Parts: sequence; structure tokens; C-alpha cells
Amino acid sequence: MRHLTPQQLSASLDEELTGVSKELVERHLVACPECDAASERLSALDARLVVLMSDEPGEAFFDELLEAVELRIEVPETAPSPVAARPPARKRETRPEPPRAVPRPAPEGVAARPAHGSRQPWLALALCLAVLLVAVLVYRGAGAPAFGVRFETAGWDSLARRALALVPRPAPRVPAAPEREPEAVPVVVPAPTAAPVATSPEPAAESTATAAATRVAAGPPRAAAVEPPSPEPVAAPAPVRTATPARPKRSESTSRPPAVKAPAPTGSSAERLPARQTPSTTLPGTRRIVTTTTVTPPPPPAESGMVCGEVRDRDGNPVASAQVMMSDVGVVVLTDRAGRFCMSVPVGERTLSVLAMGFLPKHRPLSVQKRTPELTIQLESAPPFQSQP
Amino acid sequence: MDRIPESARMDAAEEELLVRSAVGGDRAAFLALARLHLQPVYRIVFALIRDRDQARQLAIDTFLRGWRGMRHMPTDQSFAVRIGRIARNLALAHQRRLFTGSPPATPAAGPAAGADDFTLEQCEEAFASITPEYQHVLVLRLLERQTYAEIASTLDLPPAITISRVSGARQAMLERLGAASGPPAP
Repeated sequence: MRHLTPQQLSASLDEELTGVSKELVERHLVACPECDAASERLSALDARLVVLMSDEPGEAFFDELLEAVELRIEVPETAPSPVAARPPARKRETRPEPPRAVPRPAPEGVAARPAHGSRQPWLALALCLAVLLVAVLVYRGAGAPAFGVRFETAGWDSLARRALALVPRPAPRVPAAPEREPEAVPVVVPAPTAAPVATSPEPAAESTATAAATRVAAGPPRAAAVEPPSPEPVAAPAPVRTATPARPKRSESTSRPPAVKAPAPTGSSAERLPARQTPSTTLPGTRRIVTTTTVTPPPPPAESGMVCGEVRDRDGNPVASAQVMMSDVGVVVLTDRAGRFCMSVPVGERTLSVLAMGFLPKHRPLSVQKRTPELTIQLESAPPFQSQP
Repeated sequence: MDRIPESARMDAAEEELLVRSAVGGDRAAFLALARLHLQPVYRIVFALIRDRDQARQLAIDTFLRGWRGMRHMPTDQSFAVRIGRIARNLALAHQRRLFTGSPPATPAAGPAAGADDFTLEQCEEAFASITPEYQHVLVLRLLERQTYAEIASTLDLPPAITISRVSGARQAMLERLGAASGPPAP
């Protein structure tokens, strides 16, 4: 007779057998005393194990356990205790846990440091940024070639003197100060930048300053090329310290052309050009560097107009969920169930595109006005798709 | 985790409300849940550890870990399942560190011995000498009364492996006890 396998015995004991297999095993247990004894043995073992695994410490134990849990659970705002953060290996100890380690006081003259790294990374980041900012300011203030100008004098002594002179000393107010102008070193604007103004009727010697002034006034070189040349020779502005409290943006100052310095100051140019000059500090024995930065006023917001309409198919039925877009201004809307759409786009000449499933795309030029007339766009059905043989 | 005392039972909706509050950082709600599930957690841990002090410490650690991870608790998960899993994992990790694999020092009676021939101490030694995985599956089956399908789900095992693992755990216990490990070979 084939005896039952341990799996069959175990599954029978756990009442996990069903159907025919259950019937066969039960029949075998009745007929086979050895298998029946083995089953009894397993059942007795289970009973012993249940006793072994069970523990009834009493209600007081659980009350005390709950209090311990309550004491250890912190409010979410506080950091988890180091005891709770320990790996489970250390939690085998049954003795009461020692009090938290108090960090040793730092010796005199030594700053106390956090035990495990910085718990405020933002503070460290802010400090790094501040140090970097100070370094950049000192570097640029000391005449670094940030504006295309190089110092001829070098060395740590001169750098230190410049840094010391920059930090605490209040700079005297120097309004146009024409008598100081001869100290300045003219900076030659690179030749290619003067090319757009070469057609000016003015002499070639003045074309460099004219080009620079035109660029400063009009902002980007593209705008300078559009602007007609000035009928009068325009000299670059003198180093005037303006009283405007606002500082120019760093991105603007760095994106401007290099330093512009003209030998002869003219009062009219300072009025015409919305420029700000930042004279650098001049130290004895060093050349004075004058940098010019401009603040271009932001372009006026474009006037927007509403474009509304409806999209229909050839039969006049509305086309829903069609994409109506003006890609040149990046506006995309979907038509509703009635095929209608509305979009707000800047006024001007635009191209309206309509895309819909099952229809050919349609593009049409459109002059967007503040109040554009209602549009009706008719889409042509796309030809049926034919697979390649 | 289904052996919650009757006195501590509460509506599923009420417990869900507590869980939702605890997920939001409500300490009192979590303590109410801890009060509800304290005894089942302790029993699971004790079944695997069989030391009252260590089981108490691991139960505390279980709730601490559950509290720390409460914010990340999936909304569709039962708190009982979650805290029970934490308790089992902690206890199993503890057992794995202690497990040496050595047979019990005092084997029980000979191969023909019956179940009544070995004492609880011998049984405990034999239980401590089987692998933590076998211990785990026996606790799930005998203490938590889980079916094979539930054990398979808890341990993430195929059903066939679950059957052989439960059977293997029992046979390993009988071998450690020196008793006949089963019927004669078929």
C-alpha cells in the first residue's frame, strides 16, 4: 500500500484538501494505521507548538506596553529619536535604554558642530551662495575682465588693495566730473560691431561711437540695425553716476556689449540714452575702468484680441475636439461639441491651423484684431487610408 | 492579525477614520490604532521570539516604525496587514541574526517516540533550531490560522511551494525532536 506523502498529511491536517483528493486521503487514513499515527503525531505537535507560541502576559503588561509606545512616539514635527532610528539589531537589549547621549561641549575657541552632518542643508547652501556672491563681486569690482577690459597691473597686493578699497570706503559722489575724464582709458569697441553703422554719412572716426551709442539705446543689435542712423554724431555717454536706486539686472549687464568709453562727454547724449554707467573705483597706480550698462525698458505688452469661430465639415456638421492653433504664438485650443472655439492671441498677422482626426489639416492666414470677426472653417475629409500591397 | 479582542473591536469605518487621521499626522489617532492592535502584534512577535522582554521591545519598535511610515501608507492597505507585516519582518530579522542552524542540544526520544514523549522545552529547542522561514510559516499557520492561500499571499510564494513549506516545517520539527518524521516511505 502506498502511504500518504508528508504534504498530503500536512494538507489534510490543515483541511486544505478538497474534492477527490480529500476523500482519498480520508479513506487512506482509515485504512492505514501508520499514516493515521503519523497524522496524530503531527496534530499533537501542532498543539504543542501553539502552546509554545502563545503568551498571555496579562492586561497590565499590555497597558505598560502601550505607555511605552506612547512615550516613544513623537509628534511628527520633531525628528525621530536616535533610538527609534536604530537598526533592529540593537533593539535586542532588554535592559532599559540609556538616556540619549549628550554631545560633549566643544572646547573653548572651537565652534560646536552638529553631530551627524548639517541638519539644515539650506543654511549651508545659503552660506555657499553668499560666499560665491561676495567672491564674484570682489572679483568683478577688482577689474576682472568681465567687460572685456584687462588690468595691466597684477599681483596679490594690488588685488588686496582693490578689495579693501571696495568694501568699506564710501565712494564720493561724482556727477559727470569732466576733469576726471582724462584718467579713463578708452576702450575700443570690436570692429564687427561697427559694421551696421558703416553706411552712416558721418566720418569713419566717429562711426565707432555712433554704433555703440545706437546699440546702447536700442538694446539688442537686431533692433539697432532697424533703427535709422542718427543724423548727428552721437558720442558715447560720459561716466555719469545716476541717482536711480534700482540696480541693473545682472543678466542684462552681462549680455550688453563690452565697456563703452568715449573721450568727450556730451550732456545731450546722457539724456537721450537710457544708460547707466557704473564707474569703478580708481586706485592710485591703476588705470580707471569705466563700464557702461544699460537697462532696456521692457517691451510694451502686445495687445491681444479674441478670435472665435466654428469648425465644420463639408456637410456643415460641427467638428468637435479639433485642434485650432496659432503656432507662431503657441496657442492651441480644442473645439467643443458644437465645433466652436475661442482663443486670445496677440494682435497681428498670424497663421491659423486646424487639425482634426479624419480631416485634412487646414492653414489660413489671419489678421488678428482686437475684435476679429467670427470665423467659419470648413475641413475637407481625409482620403481613406490604403495599405501598401 | 484577525485575533482582535472583542472589547477592542470597532467598526471598519471608525478604524478607517483613525487610519486617515494617523496618515495626516494625528498622534492620538495612531495611539488609538496601537491600542487596538497591540495584543495581536505582541503575539506575532512573541511566537517568533519566545522571549517576553525581547518581544515587548520588538512590539514597541514595530509601532515606532509604523508611525514613522504612516505618511506613506497606501490608502487601500489595511492597518492590521501593514502593522502585522512590520512586526513579522522585525521578528524575522531578529531571528535570522540569532539563527545558528545547530541541532538542539538535547534530542528527544528515539525514532519511535510519539508526540507525547517530548516536553515543551524540547519542543522549544527544536523550534529554535529550524530555519526562520520554517518558523515563520508555522506561526502563520498555527497561530494566525492563515489558510494556505493567505500564507502564499503573505509570503509572496506560489501555492505549491506554500504546501511543501508548511509540510517541510513540520517534518523539520519532527526530525529535530528525534521522532519519526512521517509515515514510511510510500
